Parts: sequence; structure tokens; C-alpha cells
Amino acid sequence: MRSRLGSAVAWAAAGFLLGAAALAGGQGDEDLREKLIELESLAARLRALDAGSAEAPVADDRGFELDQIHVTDLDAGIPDYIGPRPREGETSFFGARAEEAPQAYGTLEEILELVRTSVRPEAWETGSQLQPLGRSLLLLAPPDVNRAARAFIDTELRPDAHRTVNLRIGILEADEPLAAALAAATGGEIDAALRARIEEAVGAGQARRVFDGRALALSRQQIAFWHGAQAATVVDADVEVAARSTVADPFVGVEILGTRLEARATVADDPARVRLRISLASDEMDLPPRAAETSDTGELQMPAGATARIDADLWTGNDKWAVAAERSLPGRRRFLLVRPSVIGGAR
Amino acid sequence: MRRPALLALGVLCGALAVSGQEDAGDPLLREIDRMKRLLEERIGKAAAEAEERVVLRTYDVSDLCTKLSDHGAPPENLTPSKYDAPPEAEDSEPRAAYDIDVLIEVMKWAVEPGSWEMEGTDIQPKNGRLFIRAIPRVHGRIERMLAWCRKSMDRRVSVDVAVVAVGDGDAALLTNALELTADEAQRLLARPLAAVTLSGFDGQRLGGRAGREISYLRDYEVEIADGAAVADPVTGKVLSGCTAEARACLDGNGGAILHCRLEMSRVAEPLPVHPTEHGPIELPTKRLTRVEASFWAPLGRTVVAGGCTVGEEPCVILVTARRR
Repeated sequence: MRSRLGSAVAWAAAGFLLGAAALAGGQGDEDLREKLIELESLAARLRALDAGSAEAPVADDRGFELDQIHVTDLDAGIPDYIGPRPREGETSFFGARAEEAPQAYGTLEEILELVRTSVRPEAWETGSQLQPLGRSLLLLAPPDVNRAARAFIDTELRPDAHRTVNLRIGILEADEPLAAALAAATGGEIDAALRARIEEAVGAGQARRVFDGRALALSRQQIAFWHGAQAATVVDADVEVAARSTVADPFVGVEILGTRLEARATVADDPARVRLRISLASDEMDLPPRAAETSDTGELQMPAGATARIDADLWTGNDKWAVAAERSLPGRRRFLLVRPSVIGGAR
Repeated sequence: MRRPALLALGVLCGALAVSGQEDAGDPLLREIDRMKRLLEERIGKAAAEAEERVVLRTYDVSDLCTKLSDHGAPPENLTPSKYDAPPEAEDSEPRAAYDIDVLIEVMKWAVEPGSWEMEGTDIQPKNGRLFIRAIPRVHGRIERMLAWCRKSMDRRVSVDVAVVAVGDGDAALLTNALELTADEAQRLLARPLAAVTLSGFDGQRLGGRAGREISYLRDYEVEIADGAAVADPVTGKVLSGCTAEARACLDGNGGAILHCRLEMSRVAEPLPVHPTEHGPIELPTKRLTRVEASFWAPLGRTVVAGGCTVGEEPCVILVTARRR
């Protein structure tokens, strides 16, 4: 009823305007024109309201604002990577992700709880809302509370979760007397004098860099690095016997070769020191593999070559080379050198 | 009264009013003011009436609620005979940017919470659409909220992975700097051994491969019966090229955590052949550089995820993540 009345007034106003404008146009009365324009504007608004198309106001009556903080970087699990194992049947023959992928601060719900208890705890009891949504936190709170939550995540949570370590890994084969000096330094840092001796020995051909690699890793995560080869070989044959026949079913194996590394660098509150856990495996295969002829199964291949496994745990300075371990074979003394550099993180 | 009649009456009144203006300019203005007040009054009443009316509108939110599935491209391996690769560990459940039930819940507490107690108001999800009965003002806010959600979820990323061979002059790649300088990156990226570009959304695992795939005779399945045996050839495939799996997780501050499994492999051809009583078997050797690690990197900058500058066929794997 009201709506119909409003409509009638609007149409009558429009007619009034048409008639008035037709005559007023020739009279040059600016004041009158302005009034008529104003009137027409009001009539248009009334017509729009009558059609139900008015633009709705958007301000929240409580002064709360909706905000969304994406925390994909904190919520995504950080997988540990497992390097390949040299024997079939052992876990992770070719390497894999560990099944557990811990999150930096737990699940999204746990991050949410951390925010709730750390940022203006009183706000969440007086109407402000916090909810997980996808990989984000959705907030409905006064603007200053939203800003405080965002600042807490950026300054308290992210820098630690983003801490990245550049791991330099070197394998150095050294002759005496450098080998003796490196052996004495194993488990500790390389000082400037020893560093200079290494460079000098490399230049003189008394030491050789067998491997020089780099990998990035988040603090506390185990990474896997492999520079080498997979080589297929016929290593065996399954013999099957029936009533009047036998047959040899060749068995193809895969040799895992080269330098494989699992490393975990942990940087805590003192970024000047880095805790390292390193597992290094190194396998070489003499080529071509030795052939072995058998009576019923044909020629098989018998791989052979140098092998080494080294596990090391050490604590070294940020950006300092250290001798992690030694692997010695007759006439070949090789040293595993590492240098962790804490380089990444939130800006 | 009918609209044409009202219009005609209005025209007549307007003409009469203006025609007498020379003698009574002020009365005309007063009349206009009176009509203005009348209109303003009607506007107020009409607005109030419209605001109280619950109306149905539908909103297609399927773009917000589609689950993001991960893509996998784990490194490939040569495998021994009779080897069943264990299943890959799942590292996350597919998740939508907005679960539809959560979206409804959020609407109810974020958009005029009190208005949903009004009789007749309702939100029903059907086939990716929301059927919402609410007063017009609330619909206006819902439109704004959905526009805000769409803007907020538009977090597209791309990850460029390139493998480049390195030589003696590239020792600088193994410095402590996290990112390469623009000149270094340009120089190295101009000569990739293989490269892939992956694109998707923030937090989604992306995968891709590029290179030459080589089929080979890898084995025989032998079956034996009374007085007879048969060898069933088994073929395999090996990739000579780049395999990349990456998950870029934006941090909102110009960087991202990248979870990467990257591999460069090279297979020498022709493949070596080994004779067996059933026929030849091909025995490939795959040389590889594989890096599996997570790290933080600044967006738009090229970092050396890993590599080796000494040894056989040294190479480094370069990664550049970008926000789209």
C-alpha cells in the first residue's frame, strides 16, 4: 500500500517536472532549474526504491571488520625427505617423503588457538570472532585487533618457520700432510689457517675436490640430495623347473651410485650456531661390471666398487666450514666438509 | 490512480505553476519545496519498507568452493624386476579455499548476525549455489563479502624450474647468497638443459616433466609348463630430462616456502644390451641430480635449490617462484 502511494507520488512528480521543465526552459531562471534537477533526483531515488534496487549500506554497526590472514606457509606440512637405500627391502629403496609431515605450529586450529591466546585475549570474549577457513584465518574484529593478529603472525611465527639454511657440502680428497691436519680438525670448525692450507693444497694438486654441492633446507627439516646414477644390471636369475624343462628367469637389479646425502640443519635462538646431522653415502661401480658365466642361467653381472657410509652429528658456527667426518681407503683419505649459512627468512 | 493519468495531471500542474511564475515566483519555489519534502518523506518510508522485506537471491559460489587437488610428479626410478613401488605418502588433504558449510557459517556471523533471526531468512547450499533469503541490505553485504572472498582467494602462483649445466666458471653459484643476481640468472637461464613452468594456486602441489622418454626392453616374464617355456618381454620407460614437483606456500610478505622434489636425469643412448637365453635385455644407466628439500625464497627471484659443480655432468637446479 505504502509502496503504491510512493509510486503514485513519484509519477506525479515526474509529470510535474516534465510540464514545468517545458515552460521553465525558456525563462532562464537558474534557481528554478536547480530546484527542478534536485526534485528529479529525488523522484528517481523513489522510483528506484519502488523497484527494490537501492544500494545497501555496508558499514558494520559494531565497527568490526572482516579480515582474512592466509597462513598457507605455516599450515602446510614440512616433509622430511628420505634418501635412497642401497638394498631392496630396506625402507625407501629409492627415497621418499616421510609419512609424517609436521607443521611449524601444528594444525590450523592450533595456530588459531595460538592467536586467540596471544593476541588481545579479551577481544575474543567480547564479540570478536576467529575462524579457520581453507588455509587461512578469518577474523571479524575491530580493525586494531585484526592488525595485532596480523603483526603477531608476521613477527612471532613466520621468521622462525621461514628460517632457511644454505648447506654447502664438499668432499675433499687430501694427501699428507694436509690429511693429518684435517683428521685432527674432524668434528670441529676449520680455522683460517687450515682453510688457507686447503686452498694451497688444491692449487698444488695435493688435494682434490671430489664433490662440491649446495642445497637449501628449512631449519629442522631433513633434506635429501643425490648426485649420481641408477644403473640396471642383470644380477641374478630365478630358475624354474618343470617336468621336462628348466628355464632361467633373469633378475634385473638397480645399483644406486654416486653421492647421496641426508641432512638436517637446526637453527635455534642463537643463529650463530647451527646443529647439523648428516648422513652421507657414496658408492662407485667399476665399469663395465665383471661378468660371471653360469652353466644354466647365462651371463650375470657382478658389480663392484668403492663404498662409504658416514653419519655425523656436529655443532658449528653459522657460515663456518667444519670437518664433519673422514672416510679412508688405502691411499685415499676423503673428508666431508660442511658449511651451513643461515640465509632465509621473513623480511 | 493509473500512472498515465498521474503523469498527465503532473504535466498540467507543472505547466500551470510555471506559466504563472512571472507574477508569483516565490509561490512556485515554495510549491517545489513542498513537493521535495513530500518526496523525501516517501523515500524514507519506501526505504524502510524495502528493508523489511525478505527476498530470495541465488549466488554461484562454485568457484570458491572447488577443492584444489594436488598434482604429483615424483622422481622416477629405474626399478628392479618384480618391484612394486610403495605408495607415495600423502602430504595434504585436498582443500577448497572455502568449504561451503564454513562459508555459510561465516556469512551468518560476519554479515549482520542479528538479521538471520528474522522470520523467513535462510541459506541453503545446492549444487555449488547458495539460495539466500534475506532482506535487501543483507544481500548487498553478501555481494560485497563474496567479492571480497574472490579477491582474497586469488592467490595464483607459478614456479619455474630450470636445470643448467655448470662449469669451472660457475663457482659463484655456490656462494652464500640465497638468490642469484639478475645478470647471473639471465646468463644461466639462457642455456637450460631442461625447464618446466608449473602454475596453480597457493599451497597446491604442482608437478611436471619435460624431456625425452625412452622405451626399452627391461625384462622377461618367464612361464614354464610341461615340456615348454615361454618368455614374455616386459618393456619399461625412462625419462631423460627434468622432473619437478613443487608446492609454493605464499607468506603474504613477498616470499614463499617452496616444498620441492626436483630431478635432472640423463640417459646415455644407445642403451647397453645384455644377452640372455630368451633374447637381449637393455640395461640403461640414468645419471641424475636430485634435490628434495623445502626452503623460503623471495618471489620473483631465482634461487639455486641445489646442485653440484664438481663431478660427472655437474649441474644446478634453479627455481623461480612468482605470484600471478
